[in-house]
Amino acid sequence: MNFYKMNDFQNINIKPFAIATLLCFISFGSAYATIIKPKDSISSQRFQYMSINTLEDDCDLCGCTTSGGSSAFGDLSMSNFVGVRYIYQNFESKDGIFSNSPISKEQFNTYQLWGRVPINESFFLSAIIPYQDLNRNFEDREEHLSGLGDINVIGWYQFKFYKKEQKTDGTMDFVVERERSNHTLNVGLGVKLPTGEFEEQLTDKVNPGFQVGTGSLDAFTTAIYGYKKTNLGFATTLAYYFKTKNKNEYRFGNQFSYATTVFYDIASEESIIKPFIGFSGDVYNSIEQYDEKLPDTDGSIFNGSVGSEFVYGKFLLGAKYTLPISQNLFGGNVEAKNNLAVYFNYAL
Amino acid sequence: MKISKIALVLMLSISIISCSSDDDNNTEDLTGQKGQLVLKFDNGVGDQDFIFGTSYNKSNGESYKLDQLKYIISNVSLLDSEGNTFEYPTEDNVFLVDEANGNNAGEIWITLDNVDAADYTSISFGVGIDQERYLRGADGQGDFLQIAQDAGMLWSWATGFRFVRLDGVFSSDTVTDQALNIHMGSVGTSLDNYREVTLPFPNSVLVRPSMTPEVHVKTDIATIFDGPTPVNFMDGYDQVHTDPIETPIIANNMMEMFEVHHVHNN
Repeated sequence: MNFYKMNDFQNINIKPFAIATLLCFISFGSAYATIIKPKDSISSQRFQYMSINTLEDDCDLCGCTTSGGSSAFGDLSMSNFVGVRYIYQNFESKDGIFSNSPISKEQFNTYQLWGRVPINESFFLSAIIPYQDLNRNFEDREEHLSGLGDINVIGWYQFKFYKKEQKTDGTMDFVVERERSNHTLNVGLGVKLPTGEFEEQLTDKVNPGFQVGTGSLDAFTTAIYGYKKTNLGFATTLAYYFKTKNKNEYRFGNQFSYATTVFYDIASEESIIKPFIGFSGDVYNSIEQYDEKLPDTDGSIFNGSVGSEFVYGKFLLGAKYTLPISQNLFGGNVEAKNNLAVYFNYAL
Repeated sequence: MKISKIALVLMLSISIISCSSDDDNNTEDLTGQKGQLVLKFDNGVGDQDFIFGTSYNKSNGESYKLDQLKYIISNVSLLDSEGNTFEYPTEDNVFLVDEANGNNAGEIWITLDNVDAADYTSISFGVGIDQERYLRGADGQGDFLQIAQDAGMLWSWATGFRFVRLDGVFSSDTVTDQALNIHMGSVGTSLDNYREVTLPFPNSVLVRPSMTPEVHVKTDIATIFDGPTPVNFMDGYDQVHTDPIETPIIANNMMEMFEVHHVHNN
C-alpha cells in the first residue's frame, strides 16, 4: 500500500512520528481524532481533538466488498482531510455444494483515496475512490482481479449542539463563541457509483462478492452520533444501503450496518494517541436476480475491533484490526476472516 | 450556502433516481428463439461429496466403498412458467452420468442444445430407459448403444440396459470387503423399472440465445440403499441384478436421490 508515501513527508521531522507509527501498528486501530494545532490567536488555543471518528469497516460482503472493501466514510468529526487507506479482507468460501467441498481462500486488497471537504459550516462532502486487487486461491488454480472499484460520494449535514450555558472553566476557554456540547450528530446521504466492473460469470461461485464493482448505482443514508467528555468518547454509526439492479439483472441485497467505537485520548504536547475498541455488524438481505431471491444469499455478521490512531500535527495514522465474533453468511458457505485497515490522512 | 443546497438537491435526486426500479419487459417475445442449458450432476453421499474408494456408512451399521458409479438419464423435459413443456428431441434424449467422467469439481455436465427460450420452473427426466425406447431395438438406440456398451451398462440385448451400476465392496459386522454390485434395470419387457422424477427449480431457469443457465443437480447416493425402503447388503442387496423384487425397490429408492440444489442464470 501507499504507506511508502510516507516518504514523501520525510522532510517533516518524521522521527517521533515514525516511532508512534510503530506503536500504532502494534496496537492496530482506527478511531479517529483530529487535532488542529494552534496556528493563530483566536480560535486555535483550544486543542480541538473534538473528533469522534468512527471509521467503521463494514465487511461489505454482498456487494460492498466491492464498494471499496469497507465503507467507513472518513473522519466524521468533521475534520476535513485527504488521505489514503489500505484495507485487507480475508474470506474462505466453499467451492462446491458439499460439506467436504474444497475451500477457496479469498484475499481482498483495497487501496483508497479518500477525503472530505467542507461546503460551508454545516455541509460537507466526502468521497472514497477505491482500487481493488482481489485474489482467490482454489485447490487447483488461482484467480486474480483488479481495477477501479465503485466510487462513493457522500453529502453530510452536521447538526450543531451547544451547551446551554457558557461557563468558564478557565482552561481552554477563551473563545467568544458559544461552547459546543459534548454531543455531535452527522447525517449523510450517499451514492455508490457503478465505476467498478461487474462480471456476472463470477457470481457462479459461492461468494459473489468477489467482484471489483457491483455494477449498480446504490444510495445509502447514514447517521453518526458521537459523545465525548474529557478524554473518553464514543461514536455510533448506522447506515442503510439501498441497492439497485445492475445491467445484468443482478441486485445485491439491501444492507444495514452498525458500528460503535469507544476511544480514549492520550494526549501529549504535540500528539495524541487514541486507542479504541468497538464492535460492528452488517445484516444483508437476499441477493436478487431477475427479480427472484436467490437462496442462501442473505446473512449477518458481528465483529469486534481494536485499534489506535496517532495524530501528529496535521497527520493522522490509524490502524484497525477486525475479527468476526459471529456470522452466518451465504448459508454458512462463506466465512469472513480477519480484516485490517490502515490509513494515513492529512487534515485540511 | 448556495452550493450546499445544490449539492443536497443533487444527492437527493441521484438517490431517488437510483431507487426507482426499471420496469421489466415481461412481455418479451421469445418465439422461435433457442438457447442452451447445462445440467450438472453432482454425486454425493448425504452432505458429503462422493469420492471413489471412500468408505460410507449405511444406517444399519454396514458400510460400502465404490469404484464404479454410473446411471442413465433420459427423456429430459422442461416446464416453463406459462405451462408449456419443452421435450428434448427423443433420439438425443438419453445420457450417461458416469462419476468417472466428472470434472475437477466432480460434476458431470450434460449440455442441452436448441432448447426453446423460456423461463423454466421445473425439470422432469427418467432414470433408465423406458419401454418405448427399448422397443426401438438395438438399431434404434443411435450412438447411445455404443456408449452404454462401453460403459458396461448393457446386458444382452434381450435383457436390456442397466439403469444404474454401482460396483465396489461392502462390510458389515461379520464380513469385510465383500463384493457389492447393484445393477438395476428393466428386464426386457417383462419387468419395467423405468421411473420418472420431477424436480422444481429453486429459481427460474432463463434460457435465451445469449444465456446458458446451469442447473446444479445434487444426488444422494445413500438413498439407493437408505431411501424410502432401506435395504441390507447382508439380506441379499449386495448383488442386485434382475431380481423382480429387489430391482423395483432399488428403482423406487433411486427416484428420491435427486435434488436441484441451485441454478445459475448467465
